[in-house]
Amino acid sequence: MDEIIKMTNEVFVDSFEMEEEQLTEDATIFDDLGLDSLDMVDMVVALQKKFNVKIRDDERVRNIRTLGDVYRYIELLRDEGVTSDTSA
Amino acid sequence: MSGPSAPLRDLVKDEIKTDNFNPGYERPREESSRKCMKKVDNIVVGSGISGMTLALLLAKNGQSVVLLEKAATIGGSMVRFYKGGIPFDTGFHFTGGFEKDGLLIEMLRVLNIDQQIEPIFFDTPNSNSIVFEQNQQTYTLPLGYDECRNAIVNYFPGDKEAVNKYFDAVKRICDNTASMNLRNLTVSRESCPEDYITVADFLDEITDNTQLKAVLSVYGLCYGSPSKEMTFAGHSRVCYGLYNGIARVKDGGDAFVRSLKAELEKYGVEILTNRFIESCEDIEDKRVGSFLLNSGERISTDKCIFTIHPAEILKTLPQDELRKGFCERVNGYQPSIGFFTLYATIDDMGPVDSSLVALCCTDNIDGAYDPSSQDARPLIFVTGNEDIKGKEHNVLHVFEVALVEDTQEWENSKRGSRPAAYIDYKERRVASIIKRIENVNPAYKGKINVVASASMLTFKDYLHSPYGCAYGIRQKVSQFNLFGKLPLRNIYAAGQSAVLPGVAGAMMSSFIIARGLIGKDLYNEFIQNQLG
Repeated sequence: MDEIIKMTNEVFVDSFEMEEEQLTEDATIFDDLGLDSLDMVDMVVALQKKFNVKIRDDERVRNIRTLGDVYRYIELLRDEGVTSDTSA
Repeated sequence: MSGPSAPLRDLVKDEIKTDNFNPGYERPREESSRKCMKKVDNIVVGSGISGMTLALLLAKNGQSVVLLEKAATIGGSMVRFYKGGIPFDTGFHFTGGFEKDGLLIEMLRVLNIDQQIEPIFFDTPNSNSIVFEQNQQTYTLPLGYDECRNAIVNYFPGDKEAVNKYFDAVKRICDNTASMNLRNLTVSRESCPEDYITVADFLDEITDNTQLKAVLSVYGLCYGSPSKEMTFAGHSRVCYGLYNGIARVKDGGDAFVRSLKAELEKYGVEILTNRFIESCEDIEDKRVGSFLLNSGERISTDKCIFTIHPAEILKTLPQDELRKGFCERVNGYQPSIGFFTLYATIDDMGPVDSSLVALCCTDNIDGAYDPSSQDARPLIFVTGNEDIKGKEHNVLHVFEVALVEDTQEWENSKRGSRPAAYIDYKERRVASIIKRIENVNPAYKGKINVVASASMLTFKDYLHSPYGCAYGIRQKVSQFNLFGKLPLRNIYAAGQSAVLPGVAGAMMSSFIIARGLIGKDLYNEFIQNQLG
């Protein structure tokens, strides 16, 4: 899990210009981090690339509220073994 | 006119002297003085089929629209050039969707141009075929969904179950795709299990027969992404119309451009050619207040919709308003295939029928996407008899898969002064294409008279598209296209890279965006009125 947290936070720092100290587990994506529903697509794309996973645009993504939800979602995907051949 | 033996070298030069080409914005404009600011409801950027469709839909619903085009004339890839009166089509050669009550027909009806677009079906025996040069196998596809299914079952009786699984799946996916029904559009990403699996994975699941897989995936040339990347759902949405109602159109893309232009004028759309957006200005709270054009004009607008290539959209948006994640997504898109295109007449013969042939060297069609592969690339050739100024001509258009890498080394050279090596490249490809076509159709031997040829660099120059590719960006499983609202709140994206490649897909994206901009209720009422 620590690795997932570290890599997820890197995505937020590198692709969304966040400061490391903003990135707490209970930080809400929309209010605390200031992303909006359109940024979510870019977040999903960046996470797909970082973790080499395929992310479906489904309920589970739409239910993400906090950074902690993102960590747990990625962990779940890893457990399910959903990896992608197409993203490098 | 030069005969079939005219030296090829003269015909492969890139400066095609057309009867109707004007290089457009490269010419300095005189009236570049700053004018007082114009205000409109919408700016639509790019006047290809998507931009023309969107501008008209908005105007028909009472909104004021300015349509911007970088080139000197509107039409984008729908433009048809003429040389010595012989037509050559740039991006539009044929399409699916012309079946009764098909999606394309319905969209044309809504735009009120259905009477002006006359399909020429490939409906004579053997007029639509796939030929594998490797084993000389030919498969002809009749017109109609069940007819195609039955023909393929007859070719592959041992794989009857696989063929049926394929055709059942394609139809089911299309029936369940809300956006393929104009009364039922949705902007949300379509989602069915096949949106997450590739064409190759689907086919591998149903059969081991490589030739059958090639036959079922050859229409991938009509969306320009390899089967191991394209989603099976996307493949289905493009191919359904092709199986059902594949046709050329009388007068080619000109028929669309002419009739749409007349409608645009009728509804007061202001068409500004030789124009593009130089900068987005007066940005407040992530909304762009006005746009400065290359001509010096300023336009203030509520909404601006880009129908151009995503890479060009990114270049136009103010960089300091964008998050890096957004730029990375857009920069991650790869170009689709392009086509090396040959325009010719077939002389000294009686009138030839309308026909379409997909010529594949091997059944490894994905091999065409490998720039290092030595195999000849798949090509499609279309024949037809056209009445040009009272004289009948047999017209032959050939388009062979091309990749950005093919001409990369010359991409910085300028039209008119490309190096000899590039001319050699074009000459080689023209000769090889003619040889392949003569092999498969010996009746054409010595009768193919080349009028012009075009590489991806030619298309890049003439159509102002970033790579000269045919279908915008490559479509990929788990890719999120640029579609709908962009990070600046009053800016949107549509076009063939947004939803699905090709004419129908590009138009579809405009219908979906129009619904959002007009409002659901007004849109539904409008569609109801137009379609009854």
